[in-house]
Parts: sequence; C-alpha cells; structure tokens
Amino acid sequence: MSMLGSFTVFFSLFLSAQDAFLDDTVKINEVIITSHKVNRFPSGYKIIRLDTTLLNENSHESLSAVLARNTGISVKSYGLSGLSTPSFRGTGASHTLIQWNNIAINNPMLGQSDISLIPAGLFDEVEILSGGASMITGNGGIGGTINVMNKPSWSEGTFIVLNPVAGSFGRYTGLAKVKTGNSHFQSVTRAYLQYGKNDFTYMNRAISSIPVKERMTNSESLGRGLVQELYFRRNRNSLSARMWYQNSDRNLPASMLTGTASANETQFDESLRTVLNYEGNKGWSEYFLTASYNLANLNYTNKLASIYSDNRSGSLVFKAGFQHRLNNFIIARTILEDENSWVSSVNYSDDRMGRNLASLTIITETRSLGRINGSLILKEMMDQKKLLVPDFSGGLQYRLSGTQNYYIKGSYSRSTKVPTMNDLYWNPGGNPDLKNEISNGAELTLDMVQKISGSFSLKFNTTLFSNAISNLIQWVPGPFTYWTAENAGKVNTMGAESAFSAEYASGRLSAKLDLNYSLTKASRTGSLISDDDMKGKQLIYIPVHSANSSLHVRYSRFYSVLASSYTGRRYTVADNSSYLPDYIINSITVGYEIVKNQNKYNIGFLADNILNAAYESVAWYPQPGRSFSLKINIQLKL
Amino acid sequence: MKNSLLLTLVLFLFISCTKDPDNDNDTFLSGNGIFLLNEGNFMGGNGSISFYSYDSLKIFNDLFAGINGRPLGDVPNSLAMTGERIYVVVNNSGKIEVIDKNNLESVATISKLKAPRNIGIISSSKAYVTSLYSDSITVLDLANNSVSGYINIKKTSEAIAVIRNRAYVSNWVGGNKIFVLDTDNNKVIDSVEVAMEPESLVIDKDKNLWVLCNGGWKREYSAELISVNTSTNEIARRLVFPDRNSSPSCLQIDGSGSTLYFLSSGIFKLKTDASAIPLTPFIPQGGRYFYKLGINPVNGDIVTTDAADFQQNGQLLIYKNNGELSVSAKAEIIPGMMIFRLNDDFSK
Repeated sequence: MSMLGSFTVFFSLFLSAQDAFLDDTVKINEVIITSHKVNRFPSGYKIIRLDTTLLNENSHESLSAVLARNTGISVKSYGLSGLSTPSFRGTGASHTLIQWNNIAINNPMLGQSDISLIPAGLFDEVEILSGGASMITGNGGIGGTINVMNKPSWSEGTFIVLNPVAGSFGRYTGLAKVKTGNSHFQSVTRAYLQYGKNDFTYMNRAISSIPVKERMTNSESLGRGLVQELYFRRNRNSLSARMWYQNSDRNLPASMLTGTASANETQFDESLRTVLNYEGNKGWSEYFLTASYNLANLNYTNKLASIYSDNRSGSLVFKAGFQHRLNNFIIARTILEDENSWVSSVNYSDDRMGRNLASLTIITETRSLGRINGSLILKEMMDQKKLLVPDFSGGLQYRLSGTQNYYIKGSYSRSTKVPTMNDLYWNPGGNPDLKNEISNGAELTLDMVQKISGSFSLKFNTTLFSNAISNLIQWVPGPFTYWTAENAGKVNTMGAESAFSAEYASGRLSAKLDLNYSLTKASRTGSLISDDDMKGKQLIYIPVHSANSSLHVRYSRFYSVLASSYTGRRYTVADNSSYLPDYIINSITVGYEIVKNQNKYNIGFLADNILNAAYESVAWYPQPGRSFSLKINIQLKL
Repeated sequence: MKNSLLLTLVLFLFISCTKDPDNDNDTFLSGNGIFLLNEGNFMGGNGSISFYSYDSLKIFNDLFAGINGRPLGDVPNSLAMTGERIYVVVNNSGKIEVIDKNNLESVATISKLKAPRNIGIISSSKAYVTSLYSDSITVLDLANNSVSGYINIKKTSEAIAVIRNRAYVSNWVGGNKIFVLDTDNNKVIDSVEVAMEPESLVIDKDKNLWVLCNGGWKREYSAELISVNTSTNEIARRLVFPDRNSSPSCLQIDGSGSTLYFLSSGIFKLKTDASAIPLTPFIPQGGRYFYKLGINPVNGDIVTTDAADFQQNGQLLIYKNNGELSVSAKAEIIPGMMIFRLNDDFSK
C-alpha cells in the first residue's frame, strides 16, 4: 500500500472514529499518538494530537485555555481579553511556530502569535510537535509547532450544529456549523461570535498592604470568525480550499500597578487566511501542492501615550511535496516551501519591508524494518537569497517487545530560526546584522500501550529532552537612548514529560483518566555582561513543574468531567529573587445528552476554578476566580 | 529535660524575634547616605528604594515594600526631598508616593497623574511635575498632597530646574525648547529654543541654566551643552559635541556649582567656563553600563549606577572626586536616580 493509501486509511479511520455527527457516543479527551505503523511523521518523534471531541468540549474557549489545561505547554496570559503566548519546553514564544493547516500564521513582525485569538471551536484537531518533528511541517519552530487543522469528514447528508454558551463575567459565545456533502464533495461552514465583558473581581495587592477587592475594567472583548472549507475528492486525489476570516476588537486590561493611570489601551486584530491544497498519487508516489495567501491587520491604540499604531502584514506561501516509496522499506520525501512575507508599519524606516524565506526539506525514513526503524531529515533554507547552514535531524525507534506496543524512540536535531522582522527592521533598534538562532536538541521517549482486557487499556509515555539555543536574540540597552536587538547569549533547557492514560468502557459506563506532568529546567548560559547573576538561574515565567489531570466519566446519558491543572512557581525576575506562587485550577462539568436518530441534544454545566484560586499568569494581571457556564450543543441531521 | 526543652524553645523564640540592628530602619535612615531609586522592569512592578549609608558603608535594599507592605509601583523615575518628605515620582503607575524621609513610611499617594517624570520643588507648599505624555505641567499642593492645577505648555515635558520665581522645563522627546514658567502665578512667560531633545537641566553658581541636549535618537543632530542666562532667558554659550554619535545624558553639577558632569558611555567632567566638550571621559565606562549620575554636594563624590543588562540587579558605584572607585554596592534592578541625605555632621 502506498504511503498516501496508508495515510488515507489511517485518517479515514481516525476521522470516522471521531466524527461528531455520526457518532452517538461522546469521545473523550486528548488523543496521544504514541506509535502507529502508518503515520505521516517519521519514526523517532513525539507527536501529540488534541482531537475534535476535546475542542468541541471547549468550543467556547480559546486555544490558549485548551493548551494550558490539557498539555505541558506553558502559556503566558495577560487575562481574559489580554495577549496569550505559548512556550515549549522552556523556549520563548517566538520559538513556537503556529500553523493553520500546515501554513505559518505567526505574525511576521513579532514572530509569535496571540493564541487567545484562536477559538477552539473553529477547528477539528490540534497537532503538537516538538523537537525535530517541527522541521517537517515548517520553518523556525525551534521550540515546537502548534498546528490547528480543519479536516474533512466524508459522511453523506447535511448536518447543523448550534453551540451557544453563556457564562459568568458577561461572557457569551455562539458557534454554528453547517456541513453538507457526499463522498466526493464536502462543504463545512463555521461561524463564531464571542463577547465578553470580563468584569470579574479580584484582589488588588498593589495599592495597599492589605489586598483590596476591585472589579476589572477596560477588559471588554468582541470577536467574530468565519471558516469556510470546501473539499473535493476523486479516486485517491483530493482538492481542498479553506478560508478563515477573523476579527477581534478588545480593550486591553491594565495591570494592578497602573489601574488608576490606565492608558485605555485597545487592540483590533483582523486576519484573512486562505489555503488551496491539492493531493494526488500514482503508484508508489504521491504529491501535494499548496498555495496560501494571508493578510493581517493589527491596530494598537494607547490614548494616554497618543499611540495609534497601524500595522499590516501579509504572506504568500507555496509548498510542494513529493513522496516516493523506493522499496518495501524506504520512503523518501521532498518538500519545497517558499514564503514571501511583507510588513507595512509606521515603526519601520521603510513603508513596506519584505522578506523571502525558502526551504528544501528531504526526509528519508524506513518502515517495517522489524523492530527498528529510523529517519533522517535534511533541510536547507535560503533567507533573502542567502543560503544558510543546513539543518538536520535523525530519529530512531525500537520496539521493545515483539508482541506488545512498547517502544523506545529518540531523535537529535539541529534547527534554525531566522530573526523576526521587528528584530531586523524596527526603528529604532532593529539590527539587520543579527545572526540566526540555532537550536541543538535531543529527546528520548518511552511509549507503552497496554490492553489489559477488552474493556480496559492503559497508555504511558515519558520523554527526556534537552535543548541548547545559541545566538539567542534579545533586546538590550545600546549606546543611545533606545534598545537594540542583539544575539545576547545562550539558553539551555532540559527536562521530562510524562503522560498516563487509563480507559475503561463496559456497557453503559465509560471512563477515562489522563495525567500529565512536565519538568522543565531552563537557564541562560551565555551573556553579554560579566558577573552575570542570571547564569544558571531558571528563566522567568517558565515553571519547573506543571501538571494536569482529567477524569471523564459517562453513564448512559449522563457525563461528567473533573479536571485539574497545576502550574508551579514562576520566577518573575532574572535572578530568581521574586516569583509568582504556584496554583491549582479545578473545574467540573456535568451534563446530559440525548441521542435520537442522528440528532443529539446536549446540555452541560461547567464550574471553573471551583476553589476560587487567586492567581496570576503574568505578574500583576489577575485571572478570574470561580465562574460558571451553561453550554448547549444541538446537532441536527437534515 | 522538660526545662531544657522549654529553655531551648524560649531561646529559639528570642533569637527568632531579634532584629538585626542593621535593619532598624529608623536608625540607619536618619544617618547620612544616598536614597537610590531602582526603576525595576517595565510592567514588572519591582521598582524599589535603596539606601546607601555613609555611616555603616552598607546598602539597604527593597525598603519601601518592606516598610509599607506593598510595592512602590511600576518604574519609579525620579525623587526629590524637601522638609521631612521625599516625593517619589512613579512614572508607569501614574502617581507620586509621599514618604517620610526618616522612616520611609508612606504619608500619602497622589494618583491619577499622566506619565509623570520629574518633580521640581517650588516652595514648601508647591511643586511642579513634568509629564512624558501630557501637554500640561501638574501643580501639586504639598500641604494637602493633592493636585491643585495644571499649566498647559502645549508640549510634553521632562526635566525641570527652579531658580528664584522661575521654573525651567524642557520639552524632551522630539522637542528643542525650554519653557519658562512664572511660579508665582503658574503661567508660561517665555521659551528658549535650544537644540534637539533637551534631556537634563542644572543651575550653576552664576545662576545660569545649563541644558544638555542629546541630539535626538536618530542622530540627525549633534548633542549640545548650552548655557542660558536666567535673567534674560537668552543663550549665553553653546558647546557642540564633536562626535555626532554621542548621546549624552544626566547632566549634574557639583556642590560649588562650578563643575558639570554627564554620562556618555563614561563619566565626563568639565568646568562651567570650559571652552569645549572633553574628548575622553573622566571615568571610562569599561564593561559596565552607566545609567544615572549624582554628585555628592558636600564631598564631591561621583555616584553612578550600573544597570548591567537591565534585567538583573545593578550596582551603585561611588568614585572619589579624583576618579578612584571607592564603593561598589549591589543595588536592585535598574538602579537610577538618587538624592543625598547629608546631615550637618557629614564631613568631607
């Protein structure tokens, strides 16, 4: 069977298993793909997938909340309507590549993406790649990659989903989805509306020795989104066209420190993203062609400082891939990518700055070589017509048992991230002479999947990782009255990630327990200054310990979800002399679902942060206390 | 056995409750020394006050939060002392903390100010506050610790110097003027066009105003040191920096009012009657980052701060007036402006 054939079978199985329209059971929680004979990622790499069911459960939330509660990714959030950025294994937000259907959507100016603006309900799956796996789907994710995806389900008929949610602090979301088609054509339309007054109360610890209860102001947000997907397939070839428009109009809440002197900051984000994709195959070969055009506006206003910053950016991306099975054991793949991006900003010396980044990735992998399989990735990038030192990655996988799904796998990767447009061109302080950031990382994973009985199974995996980033780009004080971007040191990260899952299903009862734990040590090893007190100290806002758990139980039409997440101490200054304390957020969801014919009626009640923990993700920006939401989900087959 | 246990417990409690004499705020704060503002990280809320004691030769850090049980605020930019009070201008928190100079206890908080930068003490009951973003100077009533009015200068403001019944205010960011305010009736009465971005001001022994213009961040203009006759409000002398890339800051003057100091990748020193800007620094910066400067008005100590990489604790550095480094003390994050508290018993 060709790769694409295997691929199609795998995804067909995967998607049909999770198709929310046809399935009359509620699938629960995150799916961690630990090993499969058929996988589009080569052997030796760890991939995590958050499935449709989890995203549906959290359709009223942003990707930020979903990642923070269900993965080991560290998320820095400025509150309910504030900026939110992810961090992989101790690396920075700009080291995380955010993709939509394999196309980078990081803002080219900052090189990062505000994941609070990505509604979980608009997508079918989130793919999380770390280490060398990031090199396969894109460029620059030296920390990791988060790929939000829309995927087709080839079921016949027309289906409608209505998903309103009302919650505390004046928060309302509505998601509507219409899917229609047959086995050759599918159209999916999703519309999203979100409004939040976000006026929760909190204890202000900045203005008095005894914290004072205050209500959050200037935190209103309004978001709208529309995703249109069209899919065609014939034989084993398919064509897809996807469009995602979104805007967000929000007030940025002030910190406790500046409350009375609030600048009344506002931000308007608008983006239009399109991607056209064709996949075909012939014999033992398969190929794809992708074109994507993206536009984004970011207007920031600070009335106090009279800042009215209008920033526009765009990108045109072409991708082409060809894969050929050389024999029964070796597959070779080539991916060519060219990304043209541009920025128009009042903060650059030229009205419009552009950049071209092209890459050629060659992947060779073995399949079905008994208990050992391996892969080799080579990547050559060309930045503004300048060839870079090639990146590479190698992965190995060994099946410990001939009869059990026990695997040990490891990889070593060297990857490159080019500076952001702001790092290069911001006026003043941008530095066109910056070197690229280089990551050298390794990881070793033990995967175990054990079926205890027909109704009970266990999964466990644990990963040790290490990563060294050199030429780290930081903004540092220069000889003039402004800061400049410099290659200012090195960062070492190392740690461990463990996940355990137990699943039971018998008769009308089903249950699933998930436990995740992450240990991350991240410190600076190189510096521009002598007597550096930061050397060896944990990087700020990177918790050493974090964990989360969830227990899904379903009996007949009743279901409940108990979830907890723990975030350890996070240092807020470089010498680790002050920190934000650790916190635990607990939530409980109870619900009732009726399935009649192919229609489903689901009502759920969520109590979040039930112990009313007072916590901050970013110092002096309070997070909400206990809150409640009523969630309704109606799925109708017309 | 039981008694021994009891005795141990009592001793433990006694030891636990005993204060280190060095931390007795009232004692060391009443001595001679330097109050130093640490700006902290922008939006980090870790601005603080340190005190370097000339008596014990020690530095005491994080005093405000320790004494008042709350943070000082975000980016304390400057401070001034008059009578029994210290006024700390906390830029990004939009407030002024009024504190007792003897024990650093908070007396009042004047809030809802727009990006305040520097404070000029006009009298025991009046002060002016400049603003990075507002077109007005805020007038403070120091008797009631409240805002009593505004003076619209139609430009943002930075440095302030007061002499007789005149206040001189600089329009720094993108500006090139000094505004002259009549402090009796709180009005703008004149302005002087100097050079690009007047950043700091001092008054010399002859009652001339010295203006340090840093030339602007685009480096389109050379920096200049300009003297203004405060009787006529006319420019008396201009000293142009020979290197267009010079970006000087933090003009200071010694106690006699005859020697000027400023920072420009090192500490520069020149007499008020000098005919040119020195070509080399009096004290080279070396591997440090000199951030702010102060001159002890009694013994001429040259006090500067090393902000390191602006992320970790910096240092307070005291050089004798011959340029010899005498004190290097670990302060906190981005140590900045300072004032001297010198009693009559302070000797040279």
